[in-house]
Amino acid sequence: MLILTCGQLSLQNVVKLLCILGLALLGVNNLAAQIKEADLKNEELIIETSNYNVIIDINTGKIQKHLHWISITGKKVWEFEISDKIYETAFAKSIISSDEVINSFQFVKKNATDSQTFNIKCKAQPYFSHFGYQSNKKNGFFFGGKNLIKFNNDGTTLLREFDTFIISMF
Amino acid sequence: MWLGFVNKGVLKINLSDLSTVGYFEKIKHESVSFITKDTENGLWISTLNKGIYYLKRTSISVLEDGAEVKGQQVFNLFNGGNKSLIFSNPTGLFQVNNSHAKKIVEAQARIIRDIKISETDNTVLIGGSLLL
Repeated sequence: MLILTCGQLSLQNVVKLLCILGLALLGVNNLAAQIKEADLKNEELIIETSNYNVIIDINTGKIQKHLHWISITGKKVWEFEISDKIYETAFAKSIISSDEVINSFQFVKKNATDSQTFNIKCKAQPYFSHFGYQSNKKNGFFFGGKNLIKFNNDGTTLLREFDTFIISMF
Repeated sequence: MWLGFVNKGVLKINLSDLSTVGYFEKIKHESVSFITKDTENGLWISTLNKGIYYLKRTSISVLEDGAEVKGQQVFNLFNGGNKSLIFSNPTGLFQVNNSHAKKIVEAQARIIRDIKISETDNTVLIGGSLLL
């Protein structure tokens, strides 16, 4: 979960400010030559939600081309995008079935007038994953919950269910 | 394909028949947060409870280079190129060369949760959250 606090700044400016703060962190290390400090605003912002990361173009508020694939229940596979107002609303759509409840996954902008605090929450179960492994250009693999799943142009296939949560792959 | 589990270490899966073809006894109770390979075909494995392990052929060793590295909760792990490894734990961002870990970014009340290394311009992006 990422929590942003701001005064009179717009949300987008706050995001950029956070990027600058991140750069300040990077500036004191010995890898300065390898870390490009300029133009991060044109790079991507990595936002942590509860259990996975979402990469968003901070200029457009859109997730980049390579959409992350997320398992909500361990069975359903979703892709999602952020609306034009960054963070305000995110909506999911099922890539398996179009009649799934659309707000099973969403970001919530907390309506806090005093502190101007925005909470970005993921209403979902723990241990989802984004895309993790691709064996070739035809088949990709990812995990959701306890399941190892394959996807390709024909859709998704549950390959194997384990007795515990998968949290990494290579 | 290698898979890392919560409290159950790693398994190597044969994608042809989905059978389990390998595991490592020493870390079978650890939670494996990230897995990556180096140029010598060794496997680096980060855990959420016992730091970082290195597997090569049948041997396994643990990265223990100072209190800030030994036994830490490691969130992620990436091949940094030039035979280096980059990882983060609650104390900061580290680069490993020849089994020596050097802190390159102090956490400073932040948890570094994600690292992205650009293959095109050799930049490192880090993402995280404030300690609240």
